[in-house]
Amino acid sequence: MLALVWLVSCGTSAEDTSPTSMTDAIDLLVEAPQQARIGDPVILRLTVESKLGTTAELRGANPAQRYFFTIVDSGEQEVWRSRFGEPILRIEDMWTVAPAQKVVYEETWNTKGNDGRPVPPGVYSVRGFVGLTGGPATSDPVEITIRPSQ
Amino acid sequence: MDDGTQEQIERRLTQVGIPLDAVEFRLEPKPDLRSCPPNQDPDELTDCYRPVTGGFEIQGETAYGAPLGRCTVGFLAKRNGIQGMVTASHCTEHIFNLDNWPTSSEFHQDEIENRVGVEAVDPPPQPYIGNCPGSYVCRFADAAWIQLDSGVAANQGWIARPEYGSPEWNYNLFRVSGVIGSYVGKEVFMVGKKTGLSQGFVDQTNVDMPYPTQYYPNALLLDQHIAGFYGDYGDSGGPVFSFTENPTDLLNIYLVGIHWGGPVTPGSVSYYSDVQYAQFQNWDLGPLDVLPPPSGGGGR
Repeated sequence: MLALVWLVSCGTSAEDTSPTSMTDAIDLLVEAPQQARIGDPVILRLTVESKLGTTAELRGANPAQRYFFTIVDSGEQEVWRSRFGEPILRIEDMWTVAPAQKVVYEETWNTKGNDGRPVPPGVYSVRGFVGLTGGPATSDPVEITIRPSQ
Repeated sequence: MDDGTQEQIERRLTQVGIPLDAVEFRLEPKPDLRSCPPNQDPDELTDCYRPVTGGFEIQGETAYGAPLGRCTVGFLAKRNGIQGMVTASHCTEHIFNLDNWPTSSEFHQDEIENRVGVEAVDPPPQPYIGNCPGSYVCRFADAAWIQLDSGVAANQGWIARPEYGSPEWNYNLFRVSGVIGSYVGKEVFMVGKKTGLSQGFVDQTNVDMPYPTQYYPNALLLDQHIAGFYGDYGDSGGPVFSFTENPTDLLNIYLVGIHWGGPVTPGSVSYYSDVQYAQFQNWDLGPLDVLPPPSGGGGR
């Protein structure tokens, strides 16, 4: 039985360096189980909050493509990305996150890579992203250990 | 409002029991929805500008007033002699679908008052066209034709020429000299309301791409092209073009495509639909006249 301990990481690294960057307006919190076995469905959760004390006004992806997750191996090579291979439409939507609001996105990772094959056992890092005009907002990573299937 | 109209309203008010002294009749000028606010000189592609010009921001809304996303005007064109413009289909309320014409997606610039027109052509994807596999329905272009409202001035055959990497605009324009195809290695440019002018080389041509299922299930875009120009959110619909063979000619261009997406956003790998394929009769928008009128146009 794997421990149902969730690793939590909070933060936003700004890829868009403009002084009025929207990435500075929100906090991204990514959660994932501490460990899982190959073949387990792994639930990834991304929570978005305003860190302005006021409503954060954002521009970027429209709702159907607003967030995504990536998983990289210990060598920082991306092994999986939600929406991998899916064209991202370049329409710009406007949305808001109110001060007390938590916007939660979930995705299930099936422990397979972008190539459709199970990833090797090891330690991986999970990040969550929100698609914003100028560049995505990015969470700090959390680690997940993938163990062999039983 | 003439006297007859007021009499009709008064009669109806009396019928429903509303005292006439509770109602004030006032004659006000009808707002001009066809032009931008006076004394507004645009300095960015996100501003309102008339005549409507390729490369400027366009914003959609549903027939019920709910805002859709922000996109870019591709180019102005006549279709069956009627003036309109082309943008990406996914900038309308329902992709690959005519949204209940004539109460379909409306488009305006900058402020909601500055209405430009409504979606008029956006055919549903069909099976068995081109190389469309049996389990899919297909289109050749993520494109829709927006019919301009009567009285809205159009800059057909002209596209805004902003700065590289910036939506700032100083009234410079490109002139459309025709439509041309794409090949691997060809240098192409894109104007988007967010990115401004962008440049890259064609990396792949005629790629069949599954459309995101959350937008349209089992839909395939046939014969799309992939190039290395930068694009961001809001650039959807933007014109993709190339210069003429004359290296000193920085005015005349050939239309090549309609920008719509990429593998990531923002990013320097971008997808576009071929303007030639977008004119397929029945399957897409049908023939479009994209050249400037004989009188030239291109002015303010």
